[in-house]
Amino acid sequence: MIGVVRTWLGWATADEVSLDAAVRAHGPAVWGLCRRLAASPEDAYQEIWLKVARALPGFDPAGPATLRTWVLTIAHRHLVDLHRRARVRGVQEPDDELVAEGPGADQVIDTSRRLESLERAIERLPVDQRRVVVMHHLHGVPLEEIANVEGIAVGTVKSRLHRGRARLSALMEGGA
Amino acid sequence: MNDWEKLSRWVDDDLSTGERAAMQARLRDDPQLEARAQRVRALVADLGHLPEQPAPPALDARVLAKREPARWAPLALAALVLLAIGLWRPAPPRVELSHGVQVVDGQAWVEAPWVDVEVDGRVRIAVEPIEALGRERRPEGAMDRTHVMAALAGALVVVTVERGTAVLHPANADEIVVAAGETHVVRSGRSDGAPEPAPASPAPITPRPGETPLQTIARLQERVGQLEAELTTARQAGGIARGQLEVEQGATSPWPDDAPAELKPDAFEATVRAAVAKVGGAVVETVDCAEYPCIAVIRPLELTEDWPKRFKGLGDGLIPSLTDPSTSINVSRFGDGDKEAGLMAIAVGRKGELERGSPVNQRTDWRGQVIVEGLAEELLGAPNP
Repeated sequence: MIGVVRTWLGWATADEVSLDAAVRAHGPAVWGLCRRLAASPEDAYQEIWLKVARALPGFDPAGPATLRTWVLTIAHRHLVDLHRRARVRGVQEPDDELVAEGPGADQVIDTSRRLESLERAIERLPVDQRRVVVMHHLHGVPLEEIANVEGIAVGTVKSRLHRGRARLSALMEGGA
Repeated sequence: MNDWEKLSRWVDDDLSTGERAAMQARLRDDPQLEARAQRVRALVADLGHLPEQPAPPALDARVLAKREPARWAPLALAALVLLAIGLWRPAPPRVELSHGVQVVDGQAWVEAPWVDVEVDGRVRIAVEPIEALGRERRPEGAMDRTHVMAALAGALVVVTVERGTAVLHPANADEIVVAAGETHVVRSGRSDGAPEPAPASPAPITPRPGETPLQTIARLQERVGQLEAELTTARQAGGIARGQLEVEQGATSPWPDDAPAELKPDAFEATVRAAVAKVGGAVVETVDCAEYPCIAVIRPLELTEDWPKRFKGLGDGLIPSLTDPSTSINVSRFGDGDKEAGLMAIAVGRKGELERGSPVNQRTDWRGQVIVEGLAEELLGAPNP
């Protein structure tokens, strides 16, 4: 009897660890999304992991989605919801003006400074474009998957991606 | 589409054959454009090399309390067996709470100033440092003498049990069990037992001297009846709020299983883009298919007086294969003095679906308004506060 119980406990331990393991492995990615895409990153981070914790019993490790894809999809959906609700409440997004910030790309020879400028430029994108750029380029989510989560057509995702990159290019150049 | 956007598409090989040939010709002749193309390539590479964000914050109690095993059935059985033979007690997660409010739903050990709280149920724990008391908005009369004295002493911990129990382990004092419906206040290392003055807190239920068990049960049943009545009232209030929201926003319109193939996202977007390209002088800003039906938003490149007329015809004739389609068209013009933009939201549904007054029409109107206003902000910049 005890032997059987130990086997079961082994199962339980493995499952209990899975949320911790998910947080350890994917917490930084989720936090990166929240920092870049949520008005209240800390609240969004906790809410996302609450959703993950609730849904975790339904996650099938043998299914088509990896844990990373599954967690990022929950995070993405939550951030889309937050943005839609904020839009309805009239929360403002960053100004769309292309204002030069800091030195232009030609002057920035130091990579870390260039990446810092890029990070600041990303903050200035409208959130719809920012979300597509961040999900696709920083987290490697395919455009089709982004379209599925956002509830928009792939062509619209591409438009947002290219428009976002165009704005980033102009901002990095120092205004256009 | 400006040059930057064309270059971005060029880098991804996302231009039509004609556009690509034209771009290659321009790149050959224009060194400045070629330099910009290099910058777009560099930008795409840089996006993949942005540094990691700082370490994420720790998870809070409401998340940790949900940390339950997925395969609960064998675990529950194993736990029962072990509990029966006295071998195993699961250790609840430990959470530190220095200030603020935590709602714990499940089992947790919360370390608050002056007191540890062992939670088994749904419990609200508020830790208020002295500086927070003056700032926090409270119900009228809630800042009573207890709170003021506690604030002067340094900190106040208020434990309210909604379900289950909370066992308080104060520093230098005996443990206190707080049952469902009770509130307990701890300040500066000692518990004074003062009840939370919020009017919503129900009175503690304890057997009264001389009361028979049947009388206690009857009294508890009466209390349960009162709580159920309060719950019904609260639910009605929630229902009214939801109703008000639906009056304004309409009810969510999910995609029907039998939605025609022509109205599905990719097909609809392709149709709209082809139709707009055929008329010319406009771009498709977005196609939103989060709910049924898709909404396409078109922006004229020049705001002529007659631009709505040029595109209004798109609605009915957009999908000729659909018998008696219904359409919803919303034309808006935005301006901030310097810049102006016109936007047209078009949705197509099956016969009667988008007739004025129908639920889908109401919802589509609201969705269209939200999308168009968001796009206007993108195009013109956010309005001044």
